[in-house]
Amino acid sequence: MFEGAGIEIVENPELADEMTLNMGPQHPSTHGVFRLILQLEGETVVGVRPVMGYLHRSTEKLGEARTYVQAVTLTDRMDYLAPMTNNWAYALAVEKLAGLEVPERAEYIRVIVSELGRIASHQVAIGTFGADAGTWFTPLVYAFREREEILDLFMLCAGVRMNPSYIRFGGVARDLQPEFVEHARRFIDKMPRKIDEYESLLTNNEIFQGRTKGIGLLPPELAKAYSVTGPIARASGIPYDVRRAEPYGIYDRFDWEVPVRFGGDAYDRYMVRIAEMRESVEIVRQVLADLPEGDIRGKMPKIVRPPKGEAYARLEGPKGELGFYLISDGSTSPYRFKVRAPSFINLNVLGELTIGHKVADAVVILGSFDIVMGEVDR
Amino acid sequence: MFGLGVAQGMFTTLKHFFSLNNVVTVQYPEQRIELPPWTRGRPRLIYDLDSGDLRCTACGACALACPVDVIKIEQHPSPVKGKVLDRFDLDMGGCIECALCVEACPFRAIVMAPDFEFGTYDREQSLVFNMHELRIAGTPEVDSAMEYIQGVKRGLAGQAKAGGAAAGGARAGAGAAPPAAGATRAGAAPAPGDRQPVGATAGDPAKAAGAASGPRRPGGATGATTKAPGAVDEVADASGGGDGTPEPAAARPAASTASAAAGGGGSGPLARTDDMAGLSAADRAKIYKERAAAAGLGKAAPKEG
Amino acid sequence: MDVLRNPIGALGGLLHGFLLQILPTWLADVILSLLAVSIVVAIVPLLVMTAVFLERRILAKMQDRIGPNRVGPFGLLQPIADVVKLLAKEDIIPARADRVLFITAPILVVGASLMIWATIPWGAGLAPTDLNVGVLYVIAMGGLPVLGFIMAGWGSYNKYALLGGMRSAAQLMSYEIPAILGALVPVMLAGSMQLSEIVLAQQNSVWFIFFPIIGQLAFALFIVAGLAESNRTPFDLIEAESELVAGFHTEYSGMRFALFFLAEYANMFAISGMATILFLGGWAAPFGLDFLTIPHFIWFLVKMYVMIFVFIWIRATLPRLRYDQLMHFAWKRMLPIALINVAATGIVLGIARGLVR
Repeated sequence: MFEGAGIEIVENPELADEMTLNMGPQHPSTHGVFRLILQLEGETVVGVRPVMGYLHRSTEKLGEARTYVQAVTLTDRMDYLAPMTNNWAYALAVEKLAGLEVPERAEYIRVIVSELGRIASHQVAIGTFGADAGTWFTPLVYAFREREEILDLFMLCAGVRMNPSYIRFGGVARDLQPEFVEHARRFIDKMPRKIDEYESLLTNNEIFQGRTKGIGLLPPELAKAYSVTGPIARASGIPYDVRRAEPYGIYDRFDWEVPVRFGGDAYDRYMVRIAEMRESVEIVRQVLADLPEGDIRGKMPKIVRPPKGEAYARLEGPKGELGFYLISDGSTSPYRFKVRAPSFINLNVLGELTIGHKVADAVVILGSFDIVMGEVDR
Repeated sequence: MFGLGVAQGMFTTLKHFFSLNNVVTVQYPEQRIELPPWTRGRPRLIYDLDSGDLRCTACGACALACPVDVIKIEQHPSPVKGKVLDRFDLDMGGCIECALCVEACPFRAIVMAPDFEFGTYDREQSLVFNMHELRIAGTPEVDSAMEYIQGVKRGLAGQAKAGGAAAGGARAGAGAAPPAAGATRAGAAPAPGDRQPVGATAGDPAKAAGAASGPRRPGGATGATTKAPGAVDEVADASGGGDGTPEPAAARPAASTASAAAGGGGSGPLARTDDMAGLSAADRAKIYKERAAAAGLGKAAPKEG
Repeated sequence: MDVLRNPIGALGGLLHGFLLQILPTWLADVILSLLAVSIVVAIVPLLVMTAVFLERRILAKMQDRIGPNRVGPFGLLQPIADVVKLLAKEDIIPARADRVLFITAPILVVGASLMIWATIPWGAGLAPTDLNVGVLYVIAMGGLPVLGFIMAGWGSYNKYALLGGMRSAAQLMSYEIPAILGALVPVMLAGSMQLSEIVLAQQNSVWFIFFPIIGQLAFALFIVAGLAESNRTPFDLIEAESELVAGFHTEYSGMRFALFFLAEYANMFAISGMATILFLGGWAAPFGLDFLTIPHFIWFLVKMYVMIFVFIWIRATLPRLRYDQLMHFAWKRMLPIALINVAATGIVLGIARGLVR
């Protein structure tokens, strides 16, 4: 039954009461093609084996066969729920490698679109988390309602909703249309009320609290040991946010807070995401207020041919620290194209958290991790 | 038993149940969201309105830029000059609509049109489009969409240079200005008679029309008809400002979008009118051409130098 | 006037009188009962179709969507399209399934949920058989489907189905008790187990839901337990789609799945009907609207659909409980409250009788 996954299940007569349950790769709440092999005793999980790789598309190898510009399209397709931050992380790495300058206006635009992308990603996270906890898709639909507007904004600036390839090294691909700014302002003005609406369905709901509080406790030491980042780490009391720890772009110019909670359970992860959405709204509001005029793309050679060397650039994606490691051999395409995918690294701690909980909790914990299989398997 | 939190949620859903006009979904085949002209859909090859020739010179830059290698180009050397395009096949089965081909094109010959419905019964044949199926008329709106998608390029080769103004200028005039700054950018805009299309065909038509026509108007010189070498003849556009100010061709696509939304009023020969709604791009191009000829316009669209 | 208020009952009376003239009494009774049964069996699926349609549209409205609106005017024919689709689908039985259990399970479940309707009165004298132990019968029939769920879960040879079946056994058994204790209050107040008697008792006094504290508490207990009995959110653990894919009917397709579906909604209607009868005055016109000549069964339907709306509304809002929370809630919260409530009812009744005497 388990051939192919490299997993052997040894029949143990002492464990005759246990049952092995294959959750996934086709399962409604594994967020893609992820597989969990659960050892169950009744409904209690006594063993977990996460199996990844069903969505492996060899992005990293493909990146080595593409030119630097072409590889932007690959980054879109990793965390397809937050492509702007992927573009940006890659752009940061190439800029470091080739020593490219980014004009002021482009920096502002980058912050706008990637914070909007962070809101969109968290909306999906919260909506699907609600669905995992058993609401009949109402939070999901409400969240997707506003996510649509963000995608419409991406349509205005990038011409496409999902795979924008918008942030390029040296700047951004296209300038903002005047109505983008207008629509974004309108969106930012109404977004806090909409977040209140999501919260009214979940945050104070006793059933939801019962389902999520104390579930999947991740102590800070364990989080550090597994190098967990992003909202999951911040929910465990680790105030680590790359935007603060090592400011890239122009994040040091704005006034915002890193939401941290100390419970380390699924509920706190949800609450951190809600708080981050509010902070992102504030950031976008500030950026829109002093959006400068100017170029959107710095001086660039016609064909990008970085000098020999290597570069690692990282930023705070919606899922955690997203890093790109590039090695250049002086040609037009990277010699090595490596991604530190936050979903993948965060997912490794899943097994430790799930043991001892019920099957239903396994789903909630997985939902609270907010994984995107496109990024996990790459 | 249950506390306030549950009641809060119940109240939210009940509020939505009794609210009027809360439906956000679109009934797709009947209702369609109007897509901006620079929507990245299927790549199309632009042909000039007057000559009907494709602008493509078979240089192969798009095929090189394509990350998924779906563009196949065959050419032979022309006896006169350059190359002749024999075949331009695009496999939409593999196209990821990234617009890198549009950005790469040095001859402003390829654009992405908002085509997205490609349902077919087989993958091998029906999704490969040849150069004849990909033709799209080089109307000002298409040109401006292409300019916007190419946005990153500073200096454009070919006729953009011949036109006298850098496309970057057009881009800055159209896109960079936040609404309030629109008027102040008049000075930065190219000369009034410049025929450079603007990348400001906008989803918010009124604003775009204002932004595009404002800076383009010769500073305070109402009623003046300016001609630049090789430029389009100006005609009065009623919707442009209401004062009969001649407007450059560049402002027209925006104005016409505005007029379509406002229920008519745009009257320029190249304005997109309501009766064109159901027509294909090629048919629209014919109409544009006839009207341009009837209005006594010379060259209706930029042509390759 | 009475004919207008109870047209079907009057018609039945006429038919009965006519049959009595040409047939022996027992045969006339049998024929009339069969007729009543076939009407009920025909009507319940119709009700289910309306509920499916309403559920989809109401959920959609609450979620800012439109819902099915393509088939027929306003999508009214959507349930029929659904049924046709389900009927036309391939009937799959898993290779290693226990065929006997697999095939009989849906029949058992549907049979049990239809049998509940044998005693539910739609108006005065409008029940196929007005049993004098009606409440007991309904509760007994309401407990039968669990057998079908376990059979389906075991027979499917699927681990998700098995887990769903196990959950159903625990859940339905546990919530049976608060449901009974909730229903016991109206029975005590009315002094009868006959459903029509309970309705008449409410017509003579007030609806039992308006009995201060006792009535409301009993109603709440009954509804919550009813939600659990009919596997509705927030107690839909048996078929929790985010955990168990589809629970006990994971392996079912086509018509057999449709039978489970029918049973679930028929159960929901049965719970609504019972709540209407026990607490909401049954077929009686509400709020002194008795002067309107509206047939009894219309009032009954209206009240039932109000209850259905509440069920759908809850489904649109609440997350699902966890298995252990569910059991905890039933045994440690609802059961004590229900017992206290029953005791309080007894004390109140005793005091009232003492005062009367």
